Amino acid sequence: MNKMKSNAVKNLIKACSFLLILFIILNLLSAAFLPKNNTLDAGIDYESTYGYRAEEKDSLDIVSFGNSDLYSGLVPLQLFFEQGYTNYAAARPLESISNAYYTLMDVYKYQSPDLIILEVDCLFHSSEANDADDAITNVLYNYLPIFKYHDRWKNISLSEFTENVHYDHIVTNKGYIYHKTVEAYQGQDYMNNKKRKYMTTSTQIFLDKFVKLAKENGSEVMFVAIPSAKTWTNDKHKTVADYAKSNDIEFLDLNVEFDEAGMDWATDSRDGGNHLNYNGAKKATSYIGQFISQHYQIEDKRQNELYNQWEIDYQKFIKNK
Amino acid sequence: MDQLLEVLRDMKPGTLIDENSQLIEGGILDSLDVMNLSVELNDEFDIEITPLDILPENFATPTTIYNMIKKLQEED
Amino acid sequence: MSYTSFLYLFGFLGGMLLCYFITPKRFRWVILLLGSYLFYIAASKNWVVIFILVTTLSIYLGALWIEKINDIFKKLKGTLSRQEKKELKEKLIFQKKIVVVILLIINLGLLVVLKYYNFFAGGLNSALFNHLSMSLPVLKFVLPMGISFYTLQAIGYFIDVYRGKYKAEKHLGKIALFLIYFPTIVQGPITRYDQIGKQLYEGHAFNYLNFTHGSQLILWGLFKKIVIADRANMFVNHIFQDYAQYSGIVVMTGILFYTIQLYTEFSGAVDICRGSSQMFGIELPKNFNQPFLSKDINEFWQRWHITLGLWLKEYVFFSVSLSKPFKKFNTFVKKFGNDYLSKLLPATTALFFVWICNGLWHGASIKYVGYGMYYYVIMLCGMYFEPIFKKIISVLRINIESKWFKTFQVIRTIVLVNIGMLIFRADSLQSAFQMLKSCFVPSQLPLNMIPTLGIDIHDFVIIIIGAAVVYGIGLIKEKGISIRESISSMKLPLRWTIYIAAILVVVIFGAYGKGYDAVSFIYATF
Repeated sequence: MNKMKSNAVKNLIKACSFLLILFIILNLLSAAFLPKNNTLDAGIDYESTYGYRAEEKDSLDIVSFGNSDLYSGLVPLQLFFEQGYTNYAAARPLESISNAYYTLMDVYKYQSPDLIILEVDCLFHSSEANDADDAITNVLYNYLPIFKYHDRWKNISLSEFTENVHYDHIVTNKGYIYHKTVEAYQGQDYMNNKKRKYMTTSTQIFLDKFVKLAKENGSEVMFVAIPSAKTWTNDKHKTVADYAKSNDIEFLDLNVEFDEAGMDWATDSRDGGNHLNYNGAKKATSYIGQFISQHYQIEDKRQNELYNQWEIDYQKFIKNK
Repeated sequence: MDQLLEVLRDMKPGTLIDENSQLIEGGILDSLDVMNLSVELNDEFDIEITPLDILPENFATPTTIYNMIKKLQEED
Repeated sequence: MSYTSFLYLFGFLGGMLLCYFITPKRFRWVILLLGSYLFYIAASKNWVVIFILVTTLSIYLGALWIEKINDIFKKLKGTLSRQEKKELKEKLIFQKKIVVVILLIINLGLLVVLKYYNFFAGGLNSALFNHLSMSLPVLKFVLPMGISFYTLQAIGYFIDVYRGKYKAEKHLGKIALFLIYFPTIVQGPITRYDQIGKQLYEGHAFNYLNFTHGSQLILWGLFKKIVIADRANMFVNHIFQDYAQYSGIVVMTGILFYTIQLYTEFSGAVDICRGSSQMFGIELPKNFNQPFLSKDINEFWQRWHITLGLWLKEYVFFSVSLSKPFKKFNTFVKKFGNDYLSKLLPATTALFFVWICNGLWHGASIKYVGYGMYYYVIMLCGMYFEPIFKKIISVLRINIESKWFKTFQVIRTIVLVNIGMLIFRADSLQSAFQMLKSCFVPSQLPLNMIPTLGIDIHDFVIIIIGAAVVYGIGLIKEKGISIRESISSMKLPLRWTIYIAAILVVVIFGAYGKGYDAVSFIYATF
């Protein structure tokens, strides 16, 4: 009996030391595989998500998170032009809240925004099992980036094993992705459609963590729903509104205030009602800007010489778009 | 027994088969042959070989096949 | 929840192991049962679970009913005369047959309706109803996860009870677990109740060796699945989608890569499942045994998807060839037919049913029937022309024991199997035929063409090396050397280096994450 026990202890020690060695090696390799700049060429997964890293340190007032609805529906440069808020849309296709949480963690290494905006369509990302898988994947990606960037073996250079990261690629559109196509939404009122209305367990866990992290770092949190006829419903609105209310968070649903924002499904969508085009994004951004100015105290930086470049970038964007 | 050996030799012409030939392990019969043989035996000896009887140990040598036939005949 | 997801490997499997080993031994099977249902529901829609519940309940009750009929005979046996006994036996066999038929109707019926309805309705529509200007509607059914696999296990169970191989199980939970056990539910191996029923139910103590061996098997499975198969998939999709654009060596590479993909994907997934199961101390049967070292098609199917082959042999081949109508048919042919033919006829006829079932089991379309028939015809050729082949060999004085001849046989099998895989993967029989024809149009595969075929040159190299490693390990195993044991016998530093290197290979060269996930494909056009 004693022998069995000592054997078990021996095996446990063996297994633990094996895992420890494995972890150390994966950790060392992670440093090598991490892209050394925030560009696609350097191997970053979504270039337009991580542009905040290259902005002047602590220069951003607002950072917003969300999926394609957000990067199609909010124009950060316009928000600066109209309200004077420096801001960045750190969005990603098919974003999940667990990924947004780790991106937010990353944001605080470079920026100290006053306001965090979350576009809430990403709270209805996928099924229980898929969201749980996504959450575990993101935990792993965060602590051992080699899992995320492993495919860089194809063009990694030896020097990267010793090189430090250096993020200097400024994304001039500040995360917005421009689309001018018009494809009208033809359907009826979509708010009464029946879709899943609850948030999955892992979404709830990571949403709580997201809000807590923002508040701990002195940022306020605001929820926004960008209009989407293909995904949004009254039920989802209610779920988010309940959460916002009990956590003391402002919630602006542009699906509900669609007409007030002056939007029109005949001209404002690029793909038949799923995403906004630039036309729609312009109106949504103006409306969101007014909402922010009414609810939050954020300094207008338009007269501040230090932020002249924002004005120049906006004019460039308008001209080149 | 002779009747059985005749059936076997008929099935596998040119192969030497006696009472103790290793039919399965020696590679003389494959699974399709076992099947054909079973049908043949059903007919020849008026027995009913069921799927449960199709076991390697029953078809190992002509002797084991013979024993199986005997057993099945008694059961009936 | 796929077996290669982080959720399965780190979340589900880890959680299950923990729950299993902290629960008292007597109740450990309950953990497996609950976990398996959780797995099932997480991987499909909630209400779909109803189908497997129907199957579970029907075979549980049906088998008990058959058992009861058996008991009647045993009780009365002693009191009856020989003649009465025979009559009673016949009567009871008839009753048992009715139960079996009812069970088949329920279970096979569910499978046929859900999987094959549209195939048969389409056939009926074009064959019959077109003339009557009416038609059966095309319906869209949800196909419950694993139904093709658990239905076979269910049928195997009650036919075994019917045949008297073992007694009916009185414990409903055991039957439920047998059907839904999470390592086998998605893609097999197809198990028999007498093989794993007891293993599943008895609580196993934690065993460090099982744990490490299980992990190694999972790692090997991951290597095959995510390093090779998921990578080859992109190339294969590209070629098969636009096959008309390519010819010669490009199409051949596409077909070969598909064969590599299917083998590494299927055997890899089964290794992950067998490895997972081994961690709980439950040994699942092997499903593959170096199939690409087979000398002929017959042997190939004894080494490829072994548990399906065994099932078909046990429950289709035997059932047909040992049935009464078949016996009569055989006597008839013997009386009036040719002696040579009649000797081959039993296998010929029974094999027809086996291969029709094999084809249809893989999918509901005429293509899969063609797939089954392809192998059927090859096997028949082997059987009927055996005397001719023997003659050719003796005339040409070929030494059939020589290494060259054996290599020739293996290559011949691989070529034949590749054609079978082509039928399996192509959109239809026509396109399979077109692709086969285009293989003979000469063309080249220059290196700079590879990046236009869905993968880059790095991926191409990894597939080739990976396949070579899998084949090489197969050759070593074939010699009877156990890789796991030879590594275990090495000194610790060397052993751990090998394990860590293997893990790193999977982590770095695995085709997962961005660039390989659905998102990358969906958003590729945006």
